[in-house]
Amino acid sequence: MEKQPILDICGIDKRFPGVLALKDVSLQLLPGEVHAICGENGAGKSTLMKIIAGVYVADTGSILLDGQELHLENPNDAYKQGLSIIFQESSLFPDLTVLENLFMGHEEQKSLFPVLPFIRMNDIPKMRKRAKEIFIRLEMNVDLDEKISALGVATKQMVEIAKALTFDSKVLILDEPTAALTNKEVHTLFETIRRLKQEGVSILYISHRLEEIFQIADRVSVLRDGAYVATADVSDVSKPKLISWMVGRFLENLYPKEDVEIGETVFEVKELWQRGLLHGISFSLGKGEILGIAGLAGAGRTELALAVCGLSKADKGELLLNGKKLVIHQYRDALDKGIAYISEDRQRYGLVLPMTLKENITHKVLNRICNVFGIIDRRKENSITDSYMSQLSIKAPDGSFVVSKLSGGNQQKVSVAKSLAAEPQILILDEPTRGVDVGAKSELHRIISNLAKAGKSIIIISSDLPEILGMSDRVMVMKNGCKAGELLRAELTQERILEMAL
Amino acid sequence: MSMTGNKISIKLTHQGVLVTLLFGLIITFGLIEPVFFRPSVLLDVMAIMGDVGVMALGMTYIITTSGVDLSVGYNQQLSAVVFGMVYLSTRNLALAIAAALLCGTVLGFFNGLIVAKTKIPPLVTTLATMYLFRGISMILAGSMTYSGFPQGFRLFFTYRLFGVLPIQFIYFTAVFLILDSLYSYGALGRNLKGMGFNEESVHFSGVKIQKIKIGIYTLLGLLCGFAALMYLGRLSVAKTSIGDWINFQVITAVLLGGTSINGGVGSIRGTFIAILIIGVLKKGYTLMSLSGNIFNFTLGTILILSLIVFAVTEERKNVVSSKIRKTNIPTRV
Repeated sequence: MEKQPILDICGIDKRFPGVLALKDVSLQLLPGEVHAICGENGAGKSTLMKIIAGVYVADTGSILLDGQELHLENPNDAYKQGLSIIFQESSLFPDLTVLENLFMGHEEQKSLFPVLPFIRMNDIPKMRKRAKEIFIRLEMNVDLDEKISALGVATKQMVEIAKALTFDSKVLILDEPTAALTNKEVHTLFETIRRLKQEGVSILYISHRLEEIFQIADRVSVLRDGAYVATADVSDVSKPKLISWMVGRFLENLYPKEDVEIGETVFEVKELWQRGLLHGISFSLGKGEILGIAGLAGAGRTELALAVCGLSKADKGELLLNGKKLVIHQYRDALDKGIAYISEDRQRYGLVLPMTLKENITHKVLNRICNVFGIIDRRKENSITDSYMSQLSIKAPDGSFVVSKLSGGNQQKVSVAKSLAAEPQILILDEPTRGVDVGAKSELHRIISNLAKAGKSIIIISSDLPEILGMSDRVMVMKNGCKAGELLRAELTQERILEMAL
Repeated sequence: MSMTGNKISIKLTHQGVLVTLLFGLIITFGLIEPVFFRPSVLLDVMAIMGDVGVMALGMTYIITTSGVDLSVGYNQQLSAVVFGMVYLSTRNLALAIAAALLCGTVLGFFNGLIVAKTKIPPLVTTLATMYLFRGISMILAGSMTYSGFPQGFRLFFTYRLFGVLPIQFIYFTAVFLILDSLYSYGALGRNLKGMGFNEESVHFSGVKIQKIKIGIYTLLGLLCGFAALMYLGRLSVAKTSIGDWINFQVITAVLLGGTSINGGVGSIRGTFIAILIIGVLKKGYTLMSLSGNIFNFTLGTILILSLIVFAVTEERKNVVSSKIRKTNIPTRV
């Protein structure tokens, strides 16, 4: 029997100045199903979601919720109509408690004096009771009086889901919910999704991670360049098939790492300590070598990179570059010595989004392209920009294009270009392909591989195990701020890395 | 590509609007009070804005980084008082000039040090130092006035090149040219704008942010000291009322000139034109014998209008506010 869709998206068009972001997109979300939407960055997933959420208004087309046309004035309307959207960034108030967040804007109230019914106050015991019931449904144990800022990413997400349930949502939309979660937390999240599904909640699940789609989704729809490509039952499609829908071609090799002769040791870290974060980390790096650093979130990988680069202060430890002792007080020193770090969070630390490609790419080398008066040499600036734009095939009209208008993959390339412009000998990449689409990911891997071939020494910090496996000559696994072990390329398996990391 | 085109045209029109406003005001005042069209009056406009002007140029740097310095007027006042005291007790002009410049610089450095090394917002820091500086100069000078500075000193600031061009305007233009080239074409300007948008990211580019902050507040301090000299050269009286309302005039000029109070976007050239506009207003009101209160009322109106205009155009330009991203509120783009 054909079920009536709970959310029926018909023929949505959305045009932005200069681009048609969505053309004639139609999707049906059936009651009680987990429906995944995937597609490369810029395929239109976020735009579609924002239209459903009422952030944007579609040019044409309609959205039916439970057979009724959906009219949303603003994102808060969505909640009230039983449609909850959990964005990548938390929309909770960090300084308020879990309970206050759950009922923000729709507090349970009671009148204070029966004679004056308009003087009302919050009915805290009632809210507390409802919140407890919801967390029991989710089989989660969360302290209702804890402030949001004290919670981990995974728990925050659960609170957002719980908040959706306080509105009795029938439809839940999750945007890249696992982006910041560890494997164990992902597992818990999936348990929750399955439980909600059994209760009849329909879930629209937006993700890049194909593995997850096969684990959790019933059906999957693919968008490409703003157009709808196909929908299929997950059991009927294979991963290569899905990828081919997304990029329109079969990717032959996701990780084109080439074998490179590894030269002598160029960089050594000895017994690096940082109170509470790093406990005596030592490692070495050869010329042309790619060292992968694996570990769970919070294992101290980023902290290690920051301490090495002088972006945070180590308490003890020694750095050797080409056998010589290295003194680094601040990041400028590291850059001048040829060590560059590419942050995992390109929007916050990697780039100045409202500035142009040119301004971003040359930002780490301004001192080298200035004359004695501190005036920037426009010719040098343009030639550096052009050379990296073509080397990394950054898709933008020219160097004076604003970075915030680029897709995630291209932004990441700009972030890489910015560090490459400093011509480092040692390059530390922190989650280099997080949040970029399959095509850009493969391109970034090719770029990294070429850099190693050109004799650069590279450290890749990544939570993406296939990436670590595919790219690294050697892997260092970290756990709770300690070095848990090292594995050579020949002995690398996902299982062995996880064994060490857990 | 169309977006960058738009950005440039918006910048151009903003300065275009300012120039139109400038000439519009001159013509209006001239029609009401024909004496306004006399070259000597227009040249005088240039002379009277020199001291506020150099401070506004320095302030543009600071507001671009999304900071602010409220203490400028009282820094100028204290520097003037120090000049007066040193000169009258030593009769050594060079020493007095050096003392005034040093005083301004040290006060600016003090502001910069607090802003760079602590997390106290510049608005609060300089609100506090504003009263601190005022307090010190009141203790030192009270209601005393210092005057009787030598003619040679006055000449430094009242001289007219070729008998017409006020030297105050030449100082102002010189400071403008230096600050503008560093701002529009230099690495410094790039870093200031970057800091206004996203300070953390600039830090992650290996830029020494604290140094820059201390530097720009110190520079503004030095300019306050210089402004004190310009003021004294023009009016030859040092007293404890010269700093009143100055910070308000300086900040109004910067914002009217097109620098965003949120940081990241700015223009030294805009500040330059805005200073002339304020000068025309001041002179025009004086000629029409309108009170200082009406002048302040007009400036207040201009300030709020330029803030609103900026808020609206910025929203239209889709400039991602670094503040919104920091607090992780899903942005409505």
